[in-house]
Amino acid sequence: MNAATIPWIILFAPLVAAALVLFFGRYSKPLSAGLAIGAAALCGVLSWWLFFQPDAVEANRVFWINIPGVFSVPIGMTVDSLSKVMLLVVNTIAPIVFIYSLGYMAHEEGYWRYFAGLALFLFSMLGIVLADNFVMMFIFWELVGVSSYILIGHYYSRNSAAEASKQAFLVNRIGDFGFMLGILMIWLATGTVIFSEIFEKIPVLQGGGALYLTVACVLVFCGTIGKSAQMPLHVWLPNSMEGPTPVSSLLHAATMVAAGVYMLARFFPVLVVTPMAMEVIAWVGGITCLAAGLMATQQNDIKRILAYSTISQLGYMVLGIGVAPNPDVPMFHLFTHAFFKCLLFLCAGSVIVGMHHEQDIWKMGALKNKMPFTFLCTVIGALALSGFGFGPIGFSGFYSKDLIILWAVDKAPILGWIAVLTAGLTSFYMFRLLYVVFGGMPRSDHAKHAGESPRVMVVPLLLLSIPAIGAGWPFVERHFFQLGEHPHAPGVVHLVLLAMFLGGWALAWSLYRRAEKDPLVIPLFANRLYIDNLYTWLVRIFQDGLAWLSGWADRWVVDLLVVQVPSKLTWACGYVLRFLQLGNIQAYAFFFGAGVLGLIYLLIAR
Amino acid sequence: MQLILFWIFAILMLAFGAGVVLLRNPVSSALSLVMSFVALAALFITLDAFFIGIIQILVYAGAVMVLFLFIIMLLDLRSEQTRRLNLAAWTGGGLVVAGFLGLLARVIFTEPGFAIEKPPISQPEISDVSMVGWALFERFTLPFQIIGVLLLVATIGVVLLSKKELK
Amino acid sequence: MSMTPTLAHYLVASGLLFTIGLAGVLLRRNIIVIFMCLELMLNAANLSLVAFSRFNLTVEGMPNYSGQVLVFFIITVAAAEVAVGLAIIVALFRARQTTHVEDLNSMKF
Repeated sequence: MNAATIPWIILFAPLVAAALVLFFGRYSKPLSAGLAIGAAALCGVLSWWLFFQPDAVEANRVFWINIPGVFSVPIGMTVDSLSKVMLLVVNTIAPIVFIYSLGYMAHEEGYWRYFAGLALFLFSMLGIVLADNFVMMFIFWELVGVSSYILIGHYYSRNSAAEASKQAFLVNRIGDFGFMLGILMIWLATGTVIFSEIFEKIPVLQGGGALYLTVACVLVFCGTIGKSAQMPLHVWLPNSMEGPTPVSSLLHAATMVAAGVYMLARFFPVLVVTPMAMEVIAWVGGITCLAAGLMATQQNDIKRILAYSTISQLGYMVLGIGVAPNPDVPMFHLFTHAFFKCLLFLCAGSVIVGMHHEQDIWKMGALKNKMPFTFLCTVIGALALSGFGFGPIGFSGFYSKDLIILWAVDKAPILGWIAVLTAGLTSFYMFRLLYVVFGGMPRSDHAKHAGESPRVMVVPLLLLSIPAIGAGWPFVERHFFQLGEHPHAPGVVHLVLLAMFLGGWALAWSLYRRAEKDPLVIPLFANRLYIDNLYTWLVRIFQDGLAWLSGWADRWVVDLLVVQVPSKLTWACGYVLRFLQLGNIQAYAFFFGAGVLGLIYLLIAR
Repeated sequence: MQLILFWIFAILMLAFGAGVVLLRNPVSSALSLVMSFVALAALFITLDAFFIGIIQILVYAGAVMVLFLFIIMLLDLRSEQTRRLNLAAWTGGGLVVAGFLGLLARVIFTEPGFAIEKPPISQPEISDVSMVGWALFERFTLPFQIIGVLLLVATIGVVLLSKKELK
Repeated sequence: MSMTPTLAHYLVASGLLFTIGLAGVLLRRNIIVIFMCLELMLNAANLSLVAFSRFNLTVEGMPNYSGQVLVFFIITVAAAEVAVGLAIIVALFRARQTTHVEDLNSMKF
């Protein structure tokens, strides 16, 4: 067992577990859970062990397609600082979430399906992390989409869940189309899809012209727009909350959606020489960040608030890719975000279970005494997310988010101040959530009779709180990231951020501390900027248009040209030829003689 | 001498042939046809085809034309009334006939092999009846038998067609 | 000018006879007469065949009697055909009471 084979074990253990659960899981609930958790725990341990090994970029490459000189796609592992950190993130959170699921899914249907899906997801995600070339990453990218489809649609008998899983897959597919085009462009220019070789060929790429390279990078970024739910392809993420909450926490908060950012970080050496593409990326990230933050302030489903918050934070990460000089800056935020967002989702799951699967925050209230541990962990998560900190000490989000904001203010001031504003919004909607869910008076029977969740769910919460607090501290993050120099931003930014935090809290306190229903009603945000309506309208237009076109083609091309014309032509010919039947014997004899004459002429006399 | 004979019989044959076409009364047409057949038989004789010539008289002039005359009498046909001139039929017919004549002339007079004289027969003592018989029964046995069947079929057909009504 | 008839003479005679027969078939309106002109055409062909048979000698110097055998067959077939054809005409006459060809047009469109 050496450093070369470990990545292969990490990659395939969850797949084996998934297969076993698929075949045998239906007979025993503990078996399915045990296999999945075992695989995840094994990956976790091995990832930590691997973390302390030296890097091995080209460990064990197996060639899948090999047309020498034209197209070779290996299945290989990249084990460098980037992938090792990501492995840690994925394989530390995954076992925790799996164990949490024991409690959450205890009384739910489809137990073995759920764990098989989770194991499959873990396999796919690890494939993305460990991939050493674009095609392998793309394959696992799609596999992750499939796992997401399976898991979102876990309660498949519910119409909304089926629709949501379909939407997630299709919207992702749109982004993936751009991604594929981008990969093709890169391959056309460099002749290879392997990352290390592409980076060696950067001068070749640049030689192809700035426009070509920019277009290729933006197309590759399309994959991120889809997978990481940036504007305008963000619509699937809130609907993905139809899946079980642990799925939401693992896939749609911590890991899968972060894959887009990871891919950009992996591709960073090419992006950094394409300033136009970086600008596009930064702007998309900034706009997403702000828009999602605004929409979050008016949501009434606890998971949707967190979903929009996730979109907003992903916007931060993408913004970070666009403005920071090295990929570790946004990866740092990815790292901290994974922990505290996962924590928040698991807390939400705990609340939901305590409320007997009620998710509307306006039916909750005064839960802080009934679910103290959940409350504590939610507060920790909220503070981490809002980036509470002062001077050199703070929660994890304080370090990572503020770093991105400072870089943004330094490099692209407009985006920077947008990010600052969004920080205030983040604080506002998180405290809104805290006050409405845990504060005030109980607003329904469920809230009156809620109780703390079982230990198997609470312990993961407490476990995750630790990195939520501490993962950002300098002496911790130093082991994982090389953040490089500090941005040159005016020091006043720190003060403004603190003011934003406190201002958001104050506003939330004043509006929501004793509210029975939402005093703030902003239809634009509550209806999610009407983007969903826009998409529905677009799809309908396309379908109607296509249907009209097909109908027209069927009626005028196929029916007229191919059916009517031959039939009428044949009928006309028949009608004309019928006049040859004169009924007169001598006429027939005449035709006969004329024909024979013609034949003789042609055969003999010519 | 041969040439004169040829001309005589050829002219007779053609004239009576024209008579068939031009005479109004069907009986006259039939008799004209008989004479044409006799002239034709004479032409056969000039070609040293004695057997064929006699057969022509016996079968055609003797049997076929008699049958024709029987039917004409049976049906009691009158002379054809002249109906109005059918221009289309006459133009069409005229065209076809003219075309045929033109082709004929073209073929016969451009082909060099047709201007040969009658070559002598090497063994004129062998009668052509026996030669025809040899050819018929030696090389054309099967067609001969089939002709027999054909005649049988024709006989049966005629009997059936002549019935007043089929029960 | 030759002293004996050449093959061309016989062929011209045959051709003219055939043409006369053809004209009769196309122009006469009595069905019996049309039938007789048909016989003229057959005989023209017979003449042509016999002429070729006589003028094309085989290697032994004898005429090629296949032509004459074919003429024999043609005469036989013509006889049978006349018998059957006249029977049909009689039946037709019984049905339509006419031998005028223009009246026999029930197969017209």
